Amino acid sequence: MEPTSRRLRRPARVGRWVASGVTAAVAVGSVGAMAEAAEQELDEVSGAAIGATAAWRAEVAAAEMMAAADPGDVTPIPPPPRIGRAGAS
Amino acid sequence: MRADAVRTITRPAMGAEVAVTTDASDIAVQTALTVVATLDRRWSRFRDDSKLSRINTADGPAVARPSTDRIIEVALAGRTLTDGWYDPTLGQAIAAAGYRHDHAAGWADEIDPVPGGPASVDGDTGLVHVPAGTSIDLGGIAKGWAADLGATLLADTGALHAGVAVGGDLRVRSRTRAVVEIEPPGAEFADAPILVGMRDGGVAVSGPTKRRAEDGRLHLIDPTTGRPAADPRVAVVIAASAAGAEMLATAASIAPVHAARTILERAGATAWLVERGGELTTIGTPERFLLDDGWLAEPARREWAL
Repeated sequence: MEPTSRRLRRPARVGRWVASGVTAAVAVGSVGAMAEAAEQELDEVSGAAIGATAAWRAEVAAAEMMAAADPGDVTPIPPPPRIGRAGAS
Repeated sequence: MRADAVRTITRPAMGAEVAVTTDASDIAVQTALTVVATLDRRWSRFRDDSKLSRINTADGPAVARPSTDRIIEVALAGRTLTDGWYDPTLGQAIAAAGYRHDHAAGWADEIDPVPGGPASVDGDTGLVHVPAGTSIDLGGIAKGWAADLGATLLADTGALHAGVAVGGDLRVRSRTRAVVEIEPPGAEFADAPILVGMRDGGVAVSGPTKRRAEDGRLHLIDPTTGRPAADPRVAVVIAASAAGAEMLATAASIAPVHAARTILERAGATAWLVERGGELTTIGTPERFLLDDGWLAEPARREWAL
């Protein structure tokens, strides 16, 4: 297995909704409408022309997803909420 | 929209439990759960009528939109970025190992090696081609992806805090630093989770702990052999997303430790790798996240057995 040395630092939109559609559906107050809006925007994201080729676009997206997380402020505002539990699946 | 108190709502999905912890409104939570359930129906390898099953059994290129072409594209790109140690085309090897249901219901006595294979996505048409003899398995990345989308949806609706865990893959979107608990691989020391603080990111844990057969055979397939990994380690990974962390954790649990280090450092992720017997390798910048090292604190706590 050959290591890859390519550095990928282009912006990706994967996993993000355009706020307007979901927000509008929230205003309507319908779960179905919100899910439909999210679905539609997912499709738009999947079709977004981020790079020249699908493979490159996907590599950019995957690299973005694997990049460092944002730890936030080093000194949290007390008391920070416990937001979830991760574990082996 | 009025924000509610932070609470946790759980549902079964994707052969696991979905846990949503947030102050978002009830309707936003229901929407996030609906999206997760939709993706479950779409990407399950265990449903004959799922989009993924139809793609895997199609004679030629199959329509994969909406969104299925995207996750397969990213999973295949993840294979490249992990130097092949994460491989979504090992579905047949996983099935050959006996992992034919959404839980380890029984494992084959003799396991024939089944290597991964070629698969491709046409980005213009959304058509996915999985050749005969190859099968896509999105198990891990699907959980992470669903967690990412659920948490993003909640944040977009104005939640201050959103944590969505699908089968243990967790995505956090929080306006301020929030605390995440990371369970130990075994039942022991369950009362001593690692505590990390983060605002926006994903956490995944991979290892030979929960989804294993009684005889010790594992769902973690070594892509170099097409057989269950011989001696995987526990990998705890923090990355920008749950899907990314999941791909990295899977790769880091079965790759040689030097290769795992290369992959994780190149990605910029933070990770703890725990070998059988408790040896610990730390990668990245754990000091930026760690609040309490919990079960990582001493070798006796890190020890685990197959």
